[in-house]
Amino acid sequence: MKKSRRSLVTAGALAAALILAAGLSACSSSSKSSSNAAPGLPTIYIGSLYEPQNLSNISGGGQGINEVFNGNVYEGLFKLDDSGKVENALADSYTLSADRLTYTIKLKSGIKFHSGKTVTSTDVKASIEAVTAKTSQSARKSSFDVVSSIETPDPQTVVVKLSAPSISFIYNLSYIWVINSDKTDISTTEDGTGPYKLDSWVRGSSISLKPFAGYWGAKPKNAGVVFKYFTDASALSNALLSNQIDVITSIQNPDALKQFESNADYTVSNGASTTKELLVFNDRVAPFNKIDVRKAIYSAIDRKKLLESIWGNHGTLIGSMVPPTDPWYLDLVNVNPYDVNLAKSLLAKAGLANGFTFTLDTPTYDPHPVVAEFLKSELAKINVTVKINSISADEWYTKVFQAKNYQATLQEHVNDRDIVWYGDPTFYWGYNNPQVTKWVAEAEAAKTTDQQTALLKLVNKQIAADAASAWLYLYPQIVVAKSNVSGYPINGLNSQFYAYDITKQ
Amino acid sequence: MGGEPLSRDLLRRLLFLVVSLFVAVIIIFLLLRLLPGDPANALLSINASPEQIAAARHQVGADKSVMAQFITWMSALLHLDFGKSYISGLSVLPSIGSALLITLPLTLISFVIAAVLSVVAGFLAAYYARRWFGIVLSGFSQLGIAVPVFWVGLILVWIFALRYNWFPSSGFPENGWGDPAGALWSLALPITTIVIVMSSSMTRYVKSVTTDVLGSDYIRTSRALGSSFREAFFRHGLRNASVPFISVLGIELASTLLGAVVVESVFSLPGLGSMLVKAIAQHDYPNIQGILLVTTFLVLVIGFIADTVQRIIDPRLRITSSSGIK
Amino acid sequence: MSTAKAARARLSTFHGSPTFAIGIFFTSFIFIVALVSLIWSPYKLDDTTGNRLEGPNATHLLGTDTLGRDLLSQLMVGARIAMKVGFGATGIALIIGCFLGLLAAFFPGWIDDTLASIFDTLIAFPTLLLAMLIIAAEGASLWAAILAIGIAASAIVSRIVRILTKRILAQQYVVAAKTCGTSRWEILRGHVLPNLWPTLIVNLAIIYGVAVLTEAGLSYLGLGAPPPSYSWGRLLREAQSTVLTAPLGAIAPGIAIILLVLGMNFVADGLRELFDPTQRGNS
Repeated sequence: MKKSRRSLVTAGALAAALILAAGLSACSSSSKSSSNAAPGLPTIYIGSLYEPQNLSNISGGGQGINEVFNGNVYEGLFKLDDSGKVENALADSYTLSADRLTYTIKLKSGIKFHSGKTVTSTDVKASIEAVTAKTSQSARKSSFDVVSSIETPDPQTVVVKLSAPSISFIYNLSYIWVINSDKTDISTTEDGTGPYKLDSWVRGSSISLKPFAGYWGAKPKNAGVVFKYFTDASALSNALLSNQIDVITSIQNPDALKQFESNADYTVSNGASTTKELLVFNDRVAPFNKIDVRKAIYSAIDRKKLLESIWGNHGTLIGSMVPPTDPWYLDLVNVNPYDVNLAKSLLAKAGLANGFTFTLDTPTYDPHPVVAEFLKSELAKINVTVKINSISADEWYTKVFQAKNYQATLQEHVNDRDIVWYGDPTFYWGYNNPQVTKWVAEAEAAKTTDQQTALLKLVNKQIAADAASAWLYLYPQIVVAKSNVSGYPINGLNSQFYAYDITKQ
Repeated sequence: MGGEPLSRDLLRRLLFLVVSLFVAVIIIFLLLRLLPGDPANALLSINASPEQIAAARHQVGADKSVMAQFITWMSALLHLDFGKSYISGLSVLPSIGSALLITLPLTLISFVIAAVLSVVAGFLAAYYARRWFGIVLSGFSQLGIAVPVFWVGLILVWIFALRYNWFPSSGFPENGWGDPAGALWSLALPITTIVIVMSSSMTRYVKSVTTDVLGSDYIRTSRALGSSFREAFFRHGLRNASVPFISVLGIELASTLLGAVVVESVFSLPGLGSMLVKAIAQHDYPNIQGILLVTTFLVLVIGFIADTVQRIIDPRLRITSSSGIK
Repeated sequence: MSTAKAARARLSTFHGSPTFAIGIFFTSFIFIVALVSLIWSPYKLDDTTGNRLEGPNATHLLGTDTLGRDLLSQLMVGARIAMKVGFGATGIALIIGCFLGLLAAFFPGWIDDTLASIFDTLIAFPTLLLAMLIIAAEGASLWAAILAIGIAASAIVSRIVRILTKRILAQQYVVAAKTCGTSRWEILRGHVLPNLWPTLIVNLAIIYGVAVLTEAGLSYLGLGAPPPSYSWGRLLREAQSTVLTAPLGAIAPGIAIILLVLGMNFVADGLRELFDPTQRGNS
């Protein structure tokens, strides 16, 4: 009897706990819907893996800051739309001199920063100079080496003089955010012109943006957006499955896709990607200074199987650095076909018939460790031994990118039109083909885009023929959202994610 | 006798706490200073010039001797200046503060639930040791201490968040405790995870203490003398059992804190644990140092409190020194 | 002395404790798997001939991972890593712990006082935190993890050795032997060690389990051995992202860990009962 009474007490306690939990659930769902500020418009929750390190895109904020701020909080003179076309943003119009060396850019009038200050040509000049400054960590810094002077004849006009013609100049300007020149700290706060201003940043968790009342353009179609950050791909897709977010900017977990594809509550959109997974050889050091060795390694890798392992039936094979969306794309997948016998004979030709051993510096984050393990087992077939050396992202920058002290490494390259790096022999991969360098320079100085495209196609073919690197595959760009959410960009070009058109029924 | 031995004992324990903290500070400093590579590297951009490298080394103090670095660091610590993160440039202490807003509630709630559950379950397991009910309870507690805490989290997420969608799989409301219900809601699975594992080891302990008490002479004697079981148990047994149990509680609270560190990673909660794992991966030394110091401080203070409470309840402990039998 | 002898007699049969028998069964199963993996596993670890995430089938008994590698083979190699961790960490704890513990017990005074307070501080310190500190300094590797866990556990061993040795040294017959001029070494061999090892072995079994659990936690957090590693914790970390498609990948390594740790705990409980029959049913 005593026994039954005591177990009743335990059962009662358990029941109470469950009721408490259920009550909490009711509270939490009601508080979510009531916390929306503007009536009628929804707050959109966006899930991402790329929390910025700080809020500046010129001091190592990483791709994450581009995703949350570009076009949302900050705008440039020009912007890239989701398909990669250049449009005017803060610029009203521009003219180019006959010698193609002087750009005269007129600003739209009456544009205000979030702080209330009116945008002037001084702010634009300061913003460009911040990118080209010595301390700048902008990846685009060297694109602006051609700028020789910036003048501000009046508050609405910026005159940029170049030392050599640059056909991509306007395109490159789209990467420069116009920031209030009075602002000193842009790593933890912001002062931009975009449709949203920063509401709060909970480190390790989320960044909230709210609409800016004084915005010059169309008002956002939502009451604000919250970028929620996750540290691994499965936690991110789980969050969408368990209703914590509305949309995922770029899904990195193909297994979760099956859940979304078979469920009418979700929409899966396949966009055009520019993110390439590369096995980068240090072309300066033996044995990778030999073209035959690089080609042998490339041909020994079953890229189809690799892509399938990592991405299921998603993603695209590529044969060079160029994604299909770049104007100079060519299908070069079969220039270096998967052929183990070919690989063996190429190695023999290079005098390494018995194989060799190399160290592969592998960033610790996905998908690189798995790719490294796959390469290790593939290359074992041609007697090449891979030693996997795991390194953190910052070690990668100092050891591989900066000191160029490595044999081979894995890295993802996210930007479009980045084939031009193969024209720079000082770049970390050290590919040095004077002909390619010359073509890249000529393409930049070209008069027409047709000329530029023709020259870069030559570059494209040449780097594939030389196997300058081993381009393993093009990531898929997959946006998954709840079916009642619409208006989100799907291409995620250069990891930007314009949020102002997103809305929810 | 009277108050003085207690206060003197307290003073001695306090001194011991301070010395332990100081030793921990030195160990943390030295271990992190012996690191391969240059902490200045984390500060540098991809195209840093030699002047920038020198400036960065100066900024982190890597150009000074180890002793000079230690003195600078210690004096900063005494002013509660834990430095700035290399990666985000934020002051370390406020970042730790906001992370603790998640880690502490997670730890304390889990701990209280686990402690209450295990006292009940442990007692029942001892009282019904030879019946199926007690055996099942003991079996569960055996299983619970052999299970990796992150695995429990993973399985709970799989079942309750992904399969049935009852709870969020991860994360914390963006306005934190401004949304108390949402905050508690996202802590539900993490708390359950910790409770399952922590209550197991505590249940085991409560069971063995209770068994001792139940079989002890004074219980048998007082029952033979006619007092009820309940009276005997509560008057004599409980007091005797509670003294060692409090020290166990202290240790368990410390391990709950560490359990929280791992569980936070499973549930992507932006607490101290996620911060530490990230800081280690990014070689963000100011953050690593700060978190380890704060955690050490908490662990030692918990131990100190448990010790003190124990000594207040049982004066006999005050006479025997910490170094035990002499 | 007599307890040790009695225990040895009981060890020859499992009659003394069913708990012990179950524990030995679980642990020896994992031991044997680890040994077998040295000479044979169903597939080589870099054999990627399987399909992506196959479910359990006749050719891959537990299915495959994303690269098409056999899960059972990985799990078997994982058992070997668990052995390394368990024996490595316990060994380090035993060596450091015995040395420091005996040192403290044989040299009362400031050596003893200092060491005792160090043990106390270290014991208050959770193993995982200490391990993270060492890994933050040393970089993540299997040996860093083993070393860290071993050092953390050595505090527990030290304290046990110190207290037990003091107790033994205070016994009348030992004091008598001492006054008769028996050397410290002989006292150690003749009196201390034989009475020390039953308790020690029970605690080492527990430490073994804790070591396996801690290493799994570190690997899960990405602070253990870097890839390619087949530590069970690492396997769990990788299977986490595919739990909806291939749940077995996340379940199997967890069960392996539980089997080994539970087994070791049972062995510890069983040994305790065998050495001290009054403890029966009191674990």
